[in-house]
Amino acid sequence: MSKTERIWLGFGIIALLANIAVPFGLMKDWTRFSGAFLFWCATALLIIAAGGYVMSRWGEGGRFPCR
Amino acid sequence: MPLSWLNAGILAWFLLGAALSAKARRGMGRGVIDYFLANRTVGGFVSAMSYSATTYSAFMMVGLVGLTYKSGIASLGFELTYLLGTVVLLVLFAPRYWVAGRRYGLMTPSELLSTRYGSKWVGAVASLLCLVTLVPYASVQLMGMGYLLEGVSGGAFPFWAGMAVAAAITVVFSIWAGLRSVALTDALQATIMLVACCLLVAFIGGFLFPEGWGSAMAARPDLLKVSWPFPMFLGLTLPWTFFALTNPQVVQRLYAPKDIRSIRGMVAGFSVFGFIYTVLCVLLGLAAALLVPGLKNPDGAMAALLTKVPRGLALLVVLSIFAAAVSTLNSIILTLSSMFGRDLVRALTPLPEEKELKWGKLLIPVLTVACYAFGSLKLGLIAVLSSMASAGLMAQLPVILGAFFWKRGTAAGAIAGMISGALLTGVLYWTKTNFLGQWPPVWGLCASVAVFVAVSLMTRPDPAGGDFIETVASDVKRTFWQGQDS
Repeated sequence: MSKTERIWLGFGIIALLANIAVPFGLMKDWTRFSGAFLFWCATALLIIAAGGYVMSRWGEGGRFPCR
Repeated sequence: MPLSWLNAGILAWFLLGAALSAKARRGMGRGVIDYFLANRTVGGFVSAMSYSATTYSAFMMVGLVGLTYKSGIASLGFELTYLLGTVVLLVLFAPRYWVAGRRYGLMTPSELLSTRYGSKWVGAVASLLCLVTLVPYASVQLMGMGYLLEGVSGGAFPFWAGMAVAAAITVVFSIWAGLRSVALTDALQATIMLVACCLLVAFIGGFLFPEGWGSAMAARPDLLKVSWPFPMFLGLTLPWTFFALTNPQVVQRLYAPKDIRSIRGMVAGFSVFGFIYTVLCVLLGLAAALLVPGLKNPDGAMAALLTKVPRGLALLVVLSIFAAAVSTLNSIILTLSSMFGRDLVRALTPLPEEKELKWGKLLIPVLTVACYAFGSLKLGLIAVLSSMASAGLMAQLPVILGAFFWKRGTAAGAIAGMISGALLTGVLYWTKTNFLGQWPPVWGLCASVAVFVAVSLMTRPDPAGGDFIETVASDVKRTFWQGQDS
């Protein structure tokens, strides 16, 4: 696993844990859109954007030869 | 809704899909790789839409809407946690599957396991597990279509006819040109799904909630609370988080993109599609809870909601649900057919490629009929089996991770791990046992990991397995990272 992939994995695990811990811990009884609803949306968008950044660093290695 | 409207809508949608299938057939070559992987030449946009349509079934517009209707926004957390896990996994594993597929000429996800662990029986067990778990899951898609058409037509479109129409369309879209046809029709269906969902939310927001969603929700603030018990959230979310690795119909798609740009487009496009579609479906569930309260069956929330919108829009939404079911179903059927020929028949007897393709094609109608037969039984058993499906497939997870990262993993460990994890999950579901309050997938995964590791450490690994891991890692580094970092 490359260094970037290891950082991505660590970031993903933290985001996944936060995605569960924060709404179930801090926001459990919030009754507005700015509570768990917003948190889940924001986390998902953050991961999508970060994933896009990581993938943008993929090279254009061209067509990998098929066997 | 009048039967004539439904018939006309389904016919128009089918003709459009059939035209795409016919177009796909014109470019088709010979051989199994061309048939089941479109000769590894699928572009980014079609890959993204096809991956999305395969992943998101009728569950979203029926089941997720119903879950939200019943228990509020915890369903958003469940579905977005799935999406989040999938994005994380795809960024890591899409390059690995893609290079392994090309390096070793792989066609099915199970074949990768056979190659890595040096035993065709590993792939055979994985394929059998997929067949046992996915046929009931696929039959539920057909049942959903039967119930949906019967419901919206007021009984004029009988349950069996709805299932039969969906099954026939599935066979046509799949068998004509394999993945070329399925990917193109999936792209069409994903577009219909997203457009219909956007229009429905826009109509509700604009005409039924003119004061805005926030004001409308003031009548039911409880729906914005995280109301699920944590074990339920974990039990439902855990298998779905690893869906991208354990469900063969989506894993097989990772072999098909034509180049790195197409893989990137697939992952990025799917991520954006998944986010928008999920949020819209949850909003529809909230809207249904406000507009059509008091339903005994939450799964009927979408059908009830459609009575509040113009008929044309309702028809488009019904077609989008139909499209979601068919696009999931045809992908499952196509993948299982390829696995049957490659991982089961060829495990028992050497087979030339032409015969393997014949077996695979033969399986498409056979599996569809099997799904129809399962569905027409209307057994509660099927619902149990379908909920067991994603959990049962989790038994492959440690074996899949071991295939890429653990040289000490052995074929015996892989087989024992998959069987024990799947059996324990099945038994716990069957007996409705939530040991220590946790749902069956948690214990199934624990058993699978423990047995895989223990048996692997007790047996001798295949030296070629280490070579596989190093070759794939080196190819990924060279092709995707080009020595940028180490």
